[in-house]
Amino acid sequence: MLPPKQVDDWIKNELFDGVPIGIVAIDQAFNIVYANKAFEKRFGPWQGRKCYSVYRNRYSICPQCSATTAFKDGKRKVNEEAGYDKDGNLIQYIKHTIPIFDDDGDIPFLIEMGIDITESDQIRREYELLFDQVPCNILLIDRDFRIVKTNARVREMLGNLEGEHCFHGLKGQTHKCSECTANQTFEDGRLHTGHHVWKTKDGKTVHQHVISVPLRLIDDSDDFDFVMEMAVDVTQTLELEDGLRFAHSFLETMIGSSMDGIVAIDQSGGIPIFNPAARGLFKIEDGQQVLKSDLTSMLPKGLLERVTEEAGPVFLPETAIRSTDGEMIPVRLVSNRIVIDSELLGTAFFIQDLSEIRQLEDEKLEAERLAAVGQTVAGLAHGVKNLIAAIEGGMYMLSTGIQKGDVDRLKKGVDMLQRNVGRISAFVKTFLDFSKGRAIKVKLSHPEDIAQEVVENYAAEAKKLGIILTHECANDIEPAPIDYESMHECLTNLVGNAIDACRVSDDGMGTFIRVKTYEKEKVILYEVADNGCGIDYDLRKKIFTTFFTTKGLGGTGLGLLMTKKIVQEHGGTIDLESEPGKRTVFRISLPRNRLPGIVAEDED
Amino acid sequence: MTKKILIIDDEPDIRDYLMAVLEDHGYITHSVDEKESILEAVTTLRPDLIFLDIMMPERSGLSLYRELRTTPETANIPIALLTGVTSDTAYLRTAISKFLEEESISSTSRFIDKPIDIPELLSSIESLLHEGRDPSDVAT
Repeated sequence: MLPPKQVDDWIKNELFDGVPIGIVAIDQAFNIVYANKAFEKRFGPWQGRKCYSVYRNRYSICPQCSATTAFKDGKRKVNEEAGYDKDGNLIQYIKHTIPIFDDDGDIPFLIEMGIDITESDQIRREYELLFDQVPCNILLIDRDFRIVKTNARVREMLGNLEGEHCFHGLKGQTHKCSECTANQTFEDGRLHTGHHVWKTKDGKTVHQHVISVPLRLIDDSDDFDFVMEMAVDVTQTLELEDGLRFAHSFLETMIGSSMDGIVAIDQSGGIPIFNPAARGLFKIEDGQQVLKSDLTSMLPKGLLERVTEEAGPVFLPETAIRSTDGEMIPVRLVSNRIVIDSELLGTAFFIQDLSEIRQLEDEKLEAERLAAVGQTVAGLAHGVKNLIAAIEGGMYMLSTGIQKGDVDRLKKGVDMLQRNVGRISAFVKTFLDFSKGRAIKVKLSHPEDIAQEVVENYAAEAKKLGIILTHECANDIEPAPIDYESMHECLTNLVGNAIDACRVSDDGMGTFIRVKTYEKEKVILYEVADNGCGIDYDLRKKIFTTFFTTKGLGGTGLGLLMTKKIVQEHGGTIDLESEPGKRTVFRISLPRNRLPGIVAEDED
Repeated sequence: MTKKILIIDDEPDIRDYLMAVLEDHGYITHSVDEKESILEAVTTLRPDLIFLDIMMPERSGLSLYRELRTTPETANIPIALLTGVTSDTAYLRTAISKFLEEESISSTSRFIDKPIDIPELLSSIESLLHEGRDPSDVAT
């Protein structure tokens, strides 16, 4: 049909320059002979210029010149090409080449029309990049549930699935899933999500969170033939969740079943952890809530402040906590700040009950004391036997005196009896005192004072015997809880023995007794050294190792044994160093942390 | 000839007792405590037998024993050791024997326990006086 006259006129006159597509005519020498406005707008001035110069800023014919081919074969061509616009920007266009035939069948000119696809090309490239590189799996599925297209990630994970049914390619199934997300979208045209488990080529299962959307080519249309499925791999997240659940459960079990008390305080003063062992230790009922204020009064004074200030853990090897019924319980305590990425989240405490250990230590001390008593029995039997022999002697005197009518003998016998019966009583009494384990009375004393007093007591006697008696003491010993009288008795015994040893010494020349009081690594030490090495003294030590001296029965007669007992009651030890023929040293060691009364409550 | 016995013990009551018993049985007795010079006493008195207490505060009986045995004048006099330690503790006798061995001193023949069993005492005296010193008789 023919167009109306105005339209026809417009087509004849305006179309060429009005059309928004660049059109040129080139001759066989590649000169641009004519071009429209759209072309000029895009490429700039063209008169007298070659096509390759205008399109591409070239000085010679382009390689693979489509015009050359068209001039030869007279066929239309369509090519996608790139060139430079008048500003030098790279542009892409689709070029249609149409030969013009003259009456002879030659081709004097070619018409070239270029459709700018620069922008759409860029968009297309962006889209393709996105499609393949986006960190999720993308599939296009048609209404037959066949996979039309997948992105690179899917190909890597599952291989080339194009053409397969989705339920087969993704899951190895032979029929559609009951919860098919794509199906839901196909039915109502809306976005749907679902959780699916796919199987990879190596048989691994991967968990996917799937979103399916309709792929509408025209907006607002109800029809669509494809669904795009975007799937995010959540396998690792699930594994992390499982791991976290396990760790949490494991930790809870450990804290719950720990025999040591575990307590945690957070920054807002709440107590998120207070395990059953802690409840038992502090004597707090199961249902009862614990507040930070409660803890402050139960833990050692100043501990909470100290923990938040100090960078590292705070370790108190021997301290005490106060339980809810006011009892002081000996404990070992470690506390530490909880810091994550330099942020302070709270503090944690680990509390170990030492009461049982304390008790065991006390029992051991008692057992040692009893053992010492047992040792005494054997050693003391000697003393008693002497006394018994003397009593038998008295009896003999009496009876033979009567037989003979010997009054002198009678008198003697009565004397013997009286004297020895008295001695036995005293003896037994002392022994009973010893075995009773009488409680010691401690008070804060200067250890060196005790030694000094003993040395002063013996000064005169030592001088008379020509023994050099000295006391060397450090001045910086802190006062300690010691039973003054008992320790005095110990040191008196040791110095007395030393004097005896020196007295009996064969050479009798240059004998000395050195008493030393000092402290080393929180242990108070007394040393009594003598160089009295009389044969007899050595002998006595070699054969009789039960710390027993037989220095008459006038004194306690229990000498070293009593000393040992008193030392033990102070939680200390006594030992003997002897170089036969050279010197002897008795050493009393009193560790400060074992002195009686040292695990005391806070004096608030 | 009446035999002379020397008693060395630190306890006066024991000395008196032993002297009374021995005199009642016809022996001549002398006694000293360990503070005096033993060698002098022995050389002067020339006893036929010595009773020697072991546990004495001023000087141990064993050292006296050693002294007596290593002095030629007194080396051959029989000696009985008096001991008040219970005879259950055999370590004492073993220890003493060991000590004497180490010092190469000939051992004694007899140990006499306190309290004193008089018949046993008397028979010990008899055998000691008749045997004389017996170096091969080790105390058990």
